[in-house]
Amino acid sequence: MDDLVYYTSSKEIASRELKGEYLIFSGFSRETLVVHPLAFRLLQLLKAQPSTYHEIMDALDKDSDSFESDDLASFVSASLEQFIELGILDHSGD
Amino acid sequence: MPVNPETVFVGNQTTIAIEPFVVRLKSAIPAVQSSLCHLYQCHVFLSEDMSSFADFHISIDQVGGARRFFRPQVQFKFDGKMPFKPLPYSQAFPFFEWGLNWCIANHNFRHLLLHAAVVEKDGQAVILPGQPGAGKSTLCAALAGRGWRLLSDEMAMIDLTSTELIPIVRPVSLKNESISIIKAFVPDAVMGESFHDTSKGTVAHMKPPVESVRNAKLQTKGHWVVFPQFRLDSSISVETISSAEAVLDLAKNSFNYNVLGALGFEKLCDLVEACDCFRLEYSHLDEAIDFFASLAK
Repeated sequence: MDDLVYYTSSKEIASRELKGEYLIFSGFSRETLVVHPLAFRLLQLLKAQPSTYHEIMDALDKDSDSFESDDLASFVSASLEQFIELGILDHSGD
Repeated sequence: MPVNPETVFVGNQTTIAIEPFVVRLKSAIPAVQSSLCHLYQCHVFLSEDMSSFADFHISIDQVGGARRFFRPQVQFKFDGKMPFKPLPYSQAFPFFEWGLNWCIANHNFRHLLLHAAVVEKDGQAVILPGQPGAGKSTLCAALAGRGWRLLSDEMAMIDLTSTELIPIVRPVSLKNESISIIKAFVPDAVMGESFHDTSKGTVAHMKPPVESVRNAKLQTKGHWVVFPQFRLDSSISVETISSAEAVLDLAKNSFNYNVLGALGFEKLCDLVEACDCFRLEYSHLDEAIDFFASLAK
């Protein structure tokens, strides 16, 4: 993953923790998703500030006790890819 | 007390307050006039001033030409436009009801609209979402016949500020076997005419209880979401479902969730957060009613 690429949340995104479950609405695809807590944390992180892949990994590493580092890398890569496809995240700078 | 069509239809037009909307209807068809006066007899007719504001201007007219004599048909017009193909003349009144559903679902963006019945007891509302055939109207009519206040048979209308449920009290639309089931279950229910061979089979409407119409301005909080499913000869089963699952299913049952975007998502989450959510499979109305009584205790 390129450190010059910044990931950021798209504009019309809503997210919500609901009784221990995590929901995201994409205004682009008009889809509502139930997501893993870590994917929700990833989105919250990018809503707060655009980040590179390595910045995301550093931030999430502290919150992901249940993940081995290789698993976390795969999880983050897959989440970024899916979120971009659904219009939940944008990426820029590459 | 029945309303006389001659007193409320002036020049074949009438205006009726179906809170929170005002509907102006023009129709010279006697069956439309008489069914409207019979089933909406507890509503307020505003016939004296035809220039006053109305949210929906609807007409139900007989199709002219040769169709007047050969398999006569009726057409539904909304603001002078025809959104649907004509239907047989005998289905003129259900055409009004279906058309009004369409008008509200497609032209009301001030509220979040879910395809669901809503009833209430002691200030706590049950939302009953469901696709056709799920049994929501049957349950809704049965509950209304057992003292629950009817807010709506067809759509849950949610205030985008308070997230409260807004009543839109209209006749309950019953289909096929449900008609005789409700006639037996609620013997004092006032039923309208049965309309046969519609696209939904035989359709009949139950007049909404007078107390529900009188309280049509009284909004209420959602307390339970129950997804009903009628299954012949099954014993009753109740399954608690998660809030997230309820949000996903309610979104699928919404008329305008996607149009409202993030606001619709937020309001739907607010609504569900305040509710306990269940799936209910039932075969016998008595058992289902007992389940709802246990919720309300």
